[in-house]
Amino acid sequence: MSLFSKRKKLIISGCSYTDNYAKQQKMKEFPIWGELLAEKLDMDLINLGKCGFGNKAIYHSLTEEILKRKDIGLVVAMWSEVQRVSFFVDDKPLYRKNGDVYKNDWDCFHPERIVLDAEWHDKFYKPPMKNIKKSGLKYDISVALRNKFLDDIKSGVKESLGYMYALQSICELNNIPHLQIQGCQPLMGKGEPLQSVQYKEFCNLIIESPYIDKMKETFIGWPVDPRIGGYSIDSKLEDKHRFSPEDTHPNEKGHKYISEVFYDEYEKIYS
Amino acid sequence: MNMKRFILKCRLFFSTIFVRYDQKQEKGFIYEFDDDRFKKLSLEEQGIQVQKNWNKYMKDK
Repeated sequence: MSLFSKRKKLIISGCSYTDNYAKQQKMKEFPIWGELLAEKLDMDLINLGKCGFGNKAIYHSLTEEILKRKDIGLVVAMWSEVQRVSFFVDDKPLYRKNGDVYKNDWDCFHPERIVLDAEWHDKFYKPPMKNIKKSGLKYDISVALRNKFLDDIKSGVKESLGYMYALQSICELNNIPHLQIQGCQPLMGKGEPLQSVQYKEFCNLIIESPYIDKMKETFIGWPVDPRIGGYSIDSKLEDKHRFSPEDTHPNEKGHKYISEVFYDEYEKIYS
Repeated sequence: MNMKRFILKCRLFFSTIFVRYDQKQEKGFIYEFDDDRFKKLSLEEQGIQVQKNWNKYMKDK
């Protein structure tokens, strides 16, 4: 992207479904959906997405960029898991061996995963040795949140729906074309029957929320879950669109498919 | 309750009874690691492999 390009900007944010996950994992790289969509729309891409981002980070990264620009062609939010927490950290830039500069403004994590990960490592530590996974700010915050039930589905859904509606309102207020979609599954994957119980709660929270009839057609797949007539991009991905059964992130075909979904909706709504 | 909410509640009720949703189960996190070769290792060997894996991750990073 030229610094002096007069092309409109495609501003996107999201989690690993939006960031260059293959590059992060040192896998063979391919064009990601943001790049493909920018090419189709003849816009310059500004990709604010980062692997692991929570919805708070997605919302703030987008709004801060939106409010300081006047050359926006399209804004796309691909939302993440509702129970991820995000903290503004403003770390110093990290200079990687391969020459990349990584600037981390947000520290995001899923408290339940942090605790499960730490507990899994317990077996390798015999007292008086201490499990190093059970130290540090992330772990301390995760334990505190979980002990006080502050990372439950209800609070995650309430917060996330608020960000989704706020983003829609900001874009409408500033006459900015925008699209939103749920990217990965909104809840952490669990085995049955717990998964069904949790998704039922998730759907009920959406139905009973004040946002249920406030989201416009620009939210692709609203109200997010197939049980109530919505969908996430993840629920539309087939096996051929994913890296493997273990790593269900979208592969090259998956990213191409996602870019087509956005392009079709953009044409339908804004052309 | 407005009509939309009522319809969605009904839809949710019937879909949870009659429809089975096949969602991809996560397997990528270490606590979900389900490899038979790893399971057969002694606890000490498992620890060494985890440490090696972590060292490689940190080196690549």
